[in-house]
Amino acid sequence: MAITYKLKKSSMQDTATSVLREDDSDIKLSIPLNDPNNTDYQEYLEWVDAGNTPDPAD
Amino acid sequence: MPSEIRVNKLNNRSGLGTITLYDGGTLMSGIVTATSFNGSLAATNLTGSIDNARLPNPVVKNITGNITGNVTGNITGNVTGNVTGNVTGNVTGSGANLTSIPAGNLTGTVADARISTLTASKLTGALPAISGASLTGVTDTLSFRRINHNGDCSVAQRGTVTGITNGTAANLCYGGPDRYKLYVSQHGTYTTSQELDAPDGFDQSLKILNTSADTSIASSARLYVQHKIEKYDLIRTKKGTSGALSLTAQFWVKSDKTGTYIFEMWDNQNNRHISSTYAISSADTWEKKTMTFAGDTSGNAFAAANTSGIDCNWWLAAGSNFTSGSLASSWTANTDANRCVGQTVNIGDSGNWYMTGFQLETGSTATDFEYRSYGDELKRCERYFQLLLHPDDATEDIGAGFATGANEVQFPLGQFRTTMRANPTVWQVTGSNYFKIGGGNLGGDKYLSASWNINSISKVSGSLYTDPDANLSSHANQMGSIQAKSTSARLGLTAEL
Repeated sequence: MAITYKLKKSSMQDTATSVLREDDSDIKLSIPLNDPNNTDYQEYLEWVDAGNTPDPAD
Repeated sequence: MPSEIRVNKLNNRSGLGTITLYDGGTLMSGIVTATSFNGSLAATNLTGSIDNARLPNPVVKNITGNITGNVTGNITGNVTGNVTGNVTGNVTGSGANLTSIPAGNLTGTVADARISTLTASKLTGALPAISGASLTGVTDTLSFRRINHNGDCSVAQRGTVTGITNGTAANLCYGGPDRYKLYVSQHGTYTTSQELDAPDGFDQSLKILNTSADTSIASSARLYVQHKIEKYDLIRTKKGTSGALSLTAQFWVKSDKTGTYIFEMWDNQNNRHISSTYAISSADTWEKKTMTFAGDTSGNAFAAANTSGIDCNWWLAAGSNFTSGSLASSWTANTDANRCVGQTVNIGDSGNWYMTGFQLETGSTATDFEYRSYGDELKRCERYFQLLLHPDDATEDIGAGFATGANEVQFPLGQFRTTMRANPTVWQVTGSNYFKIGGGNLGGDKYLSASWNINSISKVSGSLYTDPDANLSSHANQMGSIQAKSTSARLGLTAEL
């Protein structure tokens, strides 16, 4: 299963406030970067700890 | 000088009595009248019948035979035989051997009665109204007994979810009834759905359907349905204290596969677990299962926190890494090999599994299922997931947004319907023309086909943004209605444990 993460930053923010997760399914997740108790964020950090790097924000 | 007359028999002059003198003694017959007898007469020598004897008090000391008449005086000794008549006086001795006393005859006060073996079958009459004012030892209220959410599987905001398999993101493993997650590790692919199939008293259930079989189960394979409970809701269990309470689980279950299954509780805080087997004995038939787990006095107690406390796991398949030890039938520190010992069923090589009527409560008794209104249950589920649009509506106004520039549309979500467990993830299905912004100065349809992203978010409110299909430079800072334009569109907030 191909999983990608892309950091996202709106024009109203100076830094990325979320990361967009996509995989083979049709469901996408916009994950906030400001809550360690968000389980999607925990999963993202595990993915990063495993040596992966998200795509940078535009 | 003594004299004697030796005769054989003396006859009364009227023939009403005789005295016969024989070698063995004297025999009197007929009417005998006397005012006194001298000497001792052994009771054993009184043979024959004495009718209508009048024995004034306290002549009689011991009667070893039967008394068939009435006793109008007092009996101060023991009665070791049976009394078949009425006793209208007081009985001050022991009643240890009184039996078969009709309840209707117990009209007085029974003081300090000790009823230690009264069974429910003996309480056949109607109980009078009993005040609960002085009841003691009542450990819980009748309401809010059920700790878990969506036990009747009535809330299913996400709808059917397909393709759950190894590597699926945790939050994408939720489908069908809210709060139930299918955990899959190296073992097949599945669909989870809400079904209108349930035993009497329920209408809906969770269904797990294997859609891609794995006939060779790996040693590390795991497949279980999981209901995760927040620590806030587990403080009442007193787990990790000397007063830890038992937990009782009940649920209805059916499957096309008979055999032995495992229900497990996993303590996320202390990595401790406990398991119980249950059997499905008839294929495709609803069966109710009940099991009680002793309180766990070890480990740290649950504090008020929004993180995961206990997971309830219904195992549907397990590799040998989880079946090769001895079943953890009491709370213990984690040993994987002891988690699922005895599981004989493998839903991963085909099959289905249904469940509803799940209730987890403190105590060792499975009380009646605690029903809640749909609205109440939905509200509880929305702490973990909120759907922001109705999937049946082809066109639905879901809020107001504005263009911040040529390539960005902001969508403030406003206040959430309930405070969420954590800052939520935005769960979505987007696609070509699935959303649009329009109306007001924005004029006609400006479609939004790209993904929604979080601009800012907290547990109670947030705002999203996306890239519009068209250049909106001429509409900067103009507002419009945000609409869902496809029944395939999905937008929700998830903060599952």
